[in-house]
Amino acid sequence: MKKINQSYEPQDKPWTQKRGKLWRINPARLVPRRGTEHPVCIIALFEFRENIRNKWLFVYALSFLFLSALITYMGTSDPLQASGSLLNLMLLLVPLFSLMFGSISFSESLPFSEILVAQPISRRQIFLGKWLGLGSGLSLSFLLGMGLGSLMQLNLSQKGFGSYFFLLLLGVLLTFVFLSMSFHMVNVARRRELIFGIVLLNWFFFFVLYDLMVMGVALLLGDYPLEIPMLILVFLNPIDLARVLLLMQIDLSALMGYSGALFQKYLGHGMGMTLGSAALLIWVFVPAWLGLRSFQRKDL
Amino acid sequence: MIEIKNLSKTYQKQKVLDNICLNIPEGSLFSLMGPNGSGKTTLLKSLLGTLLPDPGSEIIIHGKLICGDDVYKRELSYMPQFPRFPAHLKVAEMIHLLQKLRKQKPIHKTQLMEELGIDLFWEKNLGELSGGMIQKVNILQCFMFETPIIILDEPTGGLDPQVTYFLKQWVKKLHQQKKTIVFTSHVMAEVDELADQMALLVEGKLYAVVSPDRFKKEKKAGSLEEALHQFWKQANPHEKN
Repeated sequence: MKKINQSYEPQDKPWTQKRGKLWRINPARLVPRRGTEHPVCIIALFEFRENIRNKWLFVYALSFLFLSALITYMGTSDPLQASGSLLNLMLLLVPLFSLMFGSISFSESLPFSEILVAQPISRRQIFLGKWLGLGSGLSLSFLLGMGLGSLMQLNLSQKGFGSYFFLLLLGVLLTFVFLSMSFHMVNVARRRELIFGIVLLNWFFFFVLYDLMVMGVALLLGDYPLEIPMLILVFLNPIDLARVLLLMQIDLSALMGYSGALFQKYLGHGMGMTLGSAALLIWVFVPAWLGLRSFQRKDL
Repeated sequence: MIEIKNLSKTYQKQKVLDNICLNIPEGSLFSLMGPNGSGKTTLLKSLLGTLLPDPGSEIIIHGKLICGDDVYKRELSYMPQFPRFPAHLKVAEMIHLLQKLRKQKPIHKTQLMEELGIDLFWEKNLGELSGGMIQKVNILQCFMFETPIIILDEPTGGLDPQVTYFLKQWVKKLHQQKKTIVFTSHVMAEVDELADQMALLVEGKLYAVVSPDRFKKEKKAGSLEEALHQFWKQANPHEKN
């Protein structure tokens, strides 16, 4: 075998291995860099940097800033009630934009992924890096837009800020749910021009069609005991799940609807919140896992 | 040494590579030749792991089966035919990303940057660069690391004559240093000038592995172009030329 004229050991060893004596430690490197030197972190940081410069993320943040400022300006300064009003804005924009931006950005980055795959790193690391980097870029835009737009109007001294921050947390979780879906759809779609159609159909299904189907089932089978099947159906739609979770948190029973009322009745507040949050986390990780598997089998 | 055994690749029920068995000797400048759609790029991408070959295919690099492994890529550099870099990253940032991922010293970086004039657009966004500038960055990202195997997909496509000359000289220099270089090309003169061995592929099948000089002698042709023309006619007798 040919002797390679350089060492393939990592050049940047952790500082603990690199420095022999304590007094020779460079103070600037006291923080162990292991984490940031991991390929997932490296790719995530670069992906984040690449995406926050994208004008569409700026437009996304600006839309939230303007609309949330408008809602809170026209409505109430009570964060508890404002959360209820801002919820619908979040449920409309976050899934739609995460799906669209995620699919465009991921499919456009696939040619560069060819170069990344040719580096000594695994496809899993590339996928996770992209997922984290893009997800944090989208989340930051959402948090900045929604946060700046509404916090200026809200009365900070009032109670209910827990609910308001829960709303922001739900927005971040929904971002990752629909980003994972978009990654998976890009990987399985054979033709690029089909991706956007599939993505829009996905959004239409979860945002509009699903509720219509549930209502149709409830009307058609109204004579049967449907409480438990309806309860299960709430868990199968992340948008519904996020809505019910926030309305339970702020205890707005008037807006809760049938599914929310079922949650309260059968699971109670504590159990309902715990199970609902766990289900939303599953909604984040299952599509991400599916996306990862499809990426590992994809020809680039 | 790169050993390829029973390499097949099927896309949507169409066999793009059909049971290729090929040995690429260490230190050789090896060209993959064939008409469009013959499977040259598919073969290169199988070496890189960007395409997943059919089950039963084996690629052995330096005695190790590469299946499911990523560490072997430390020994490879790759230059794609049509690179598409992240538009919002600067040249410096993208090169820095690759450096961090490989954890290898880019020992040729400074020289390549000077020779190709990359310093002039080092801080520019990749999305703002012209096609020629992108190709220069492509050359840099491929050749800045010291690796024993270099894979080039149509390396001179889209390059101006000056950069083409530079690239050829660089490839010759690496060949003298006993690096294994595998490349695809449609430019016969380039293959004739550079390659010491070439593999002839037609419709996903390997027909011959031969040196350009010997191939010309065998076909009693004055140029590689003429020799290949005769070969394609024999390999594909139904095609009217």
